Amino acid sequence: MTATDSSPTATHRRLPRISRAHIPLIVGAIIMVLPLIYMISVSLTPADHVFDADAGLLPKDPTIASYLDAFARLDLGRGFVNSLVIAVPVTVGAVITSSMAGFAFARLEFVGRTLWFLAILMTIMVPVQVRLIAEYIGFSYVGLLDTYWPLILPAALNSAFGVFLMRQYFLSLPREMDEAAELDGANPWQFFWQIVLPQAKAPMGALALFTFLASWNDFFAPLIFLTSDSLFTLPLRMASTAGLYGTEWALLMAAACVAILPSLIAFILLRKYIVAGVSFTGAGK
Amino acid sequence: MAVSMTTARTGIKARRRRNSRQKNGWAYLFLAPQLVGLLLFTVVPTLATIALSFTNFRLGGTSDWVGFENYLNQLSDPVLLKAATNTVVFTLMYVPAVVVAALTVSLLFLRVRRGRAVYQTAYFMPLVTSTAATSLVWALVFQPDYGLANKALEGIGLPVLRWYSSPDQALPTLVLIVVWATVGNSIILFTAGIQSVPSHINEAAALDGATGLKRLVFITLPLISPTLFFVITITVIGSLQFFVEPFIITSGGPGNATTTVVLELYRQAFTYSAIGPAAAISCLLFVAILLLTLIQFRLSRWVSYDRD
Repeated sequence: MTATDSSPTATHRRLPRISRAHIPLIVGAIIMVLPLIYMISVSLTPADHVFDADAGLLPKDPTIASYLDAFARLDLGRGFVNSLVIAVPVTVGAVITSSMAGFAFARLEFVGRTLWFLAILMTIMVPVQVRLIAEYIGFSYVGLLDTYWPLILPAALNSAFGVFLMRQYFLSLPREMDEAAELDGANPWQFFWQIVLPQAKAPMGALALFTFLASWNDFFAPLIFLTSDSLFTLPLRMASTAGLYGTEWALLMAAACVAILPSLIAFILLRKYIVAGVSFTGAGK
Repeated sequence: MAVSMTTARTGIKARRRRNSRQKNGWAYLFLAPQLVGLLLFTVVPTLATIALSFTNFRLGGTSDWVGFENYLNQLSDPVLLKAATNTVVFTLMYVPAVVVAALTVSLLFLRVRRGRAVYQTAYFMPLVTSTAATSLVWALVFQPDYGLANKALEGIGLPVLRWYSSPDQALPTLVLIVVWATVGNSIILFTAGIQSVPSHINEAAALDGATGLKRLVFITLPLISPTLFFVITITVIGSLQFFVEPFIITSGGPGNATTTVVLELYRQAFTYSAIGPAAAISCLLFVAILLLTLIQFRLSRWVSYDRD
């Protein structure tokens, strides 16, 4: 582009040029972050001043009273722990089982490979609501409603996204690795566990992040399976709070800030993984 | 000589067969957890839901086959028809909006060299945050009496709106919120798609004197059409399953102005314990999604995949 710029004006253009594309991008970015800033701002506003006529975007006398209130009255701490107790086993389970299945599909030859792989991919097409109705009845028959099992088991053992992601990664490893391992007398499990898996930290990290966020933010399944207040996840606790304390906005916004904080930290630290994961499979919201 | 060759060959064959049998065993060991999950949590529940849709099943009660009764009842139920209309109207507003917004931002992204990380952080943040949490802040922003949106409109001298508390404005308000929440997903996909267009094509077009807009319409868009189709497919499927925002912000109201298919399904199954009708709704949804996916695959055959 600059090579063709030989006009007189090109000299001052050569200064670090800032693209005009920045202007709409900045406007858009402000719109994107405004609600989150507003969320933080209201959470720090004294509860009785949220709707002051002169209330702007920034709180006048910031206070953390709503946060203390939220932890005391809404039992956010428990919601936080509950969400973790579900998301951690889901993440560990999904990463391990998806890596195993992905490895088999990518590196082992066996009867029915294409068939099973297609079957797993097809599950992406089944809307979650179709499964949940029957799962609800099934879990009620085995007496596991209002426990964490219906939220942990399906997510940990049935991840088409994870299998696909790991398979693609294992396909990219050189074929010679398998032969070398076979010559050394390693069985497939040793090959997988000692040689392949330690190299797969990047895709496993991406999968772990995605699985954790999906579980942490999930709303529909906890809404259906959990009925006891004491078991509620953070999003569920917030939604039920909104019904009960519908007008206490400072309190609600403090709870919302607490709920999104771990996701935001994870996102800022691991942004590249998230972008790579979405562009790879289209997964997201 | 010839004999020993054949025995040697059969020996190799036998060993291969033994090897592959061993590999079969290993493979299924590796697959076992995911295959059990697939059967228990997708195949069986899906078949069970289809079966349930033909019964008047009640938890703890009896259950009889009722044939197509649930389907006929649901398809003539004004609430479900309203929900279906809402879902279609929502999709028709949301999908073009999110595609145009995401495409615009992606094209702008590729024109800046600095600050992309900052922009990514801003545009992708809603993707990782809890929809329940962000729905609450939007409920406050669009609160008709004292929300930020109406304050802003007043500030620049425009008439205020009723947003989600008016039957006419509620669905468009939710469209705005969901575009905000999901635009990052499509931006990521478009950015990846546009970046995979070989740069020499654009350079050649620039040398031929093609301007920005022409280049977009005649070169970039056709080249990224596979991405475009993929984005449209997944956003349509996502919007047919639209649930959390109307559940939290409007509870489907005012009236049934924002009741969606999945919200109605949820009410049938878990508010009224009407499992059969709910199963019928979810099967209809399933069929709709399958049909749309098939149609879009068909259409995408006309799309150019040839980039060389």
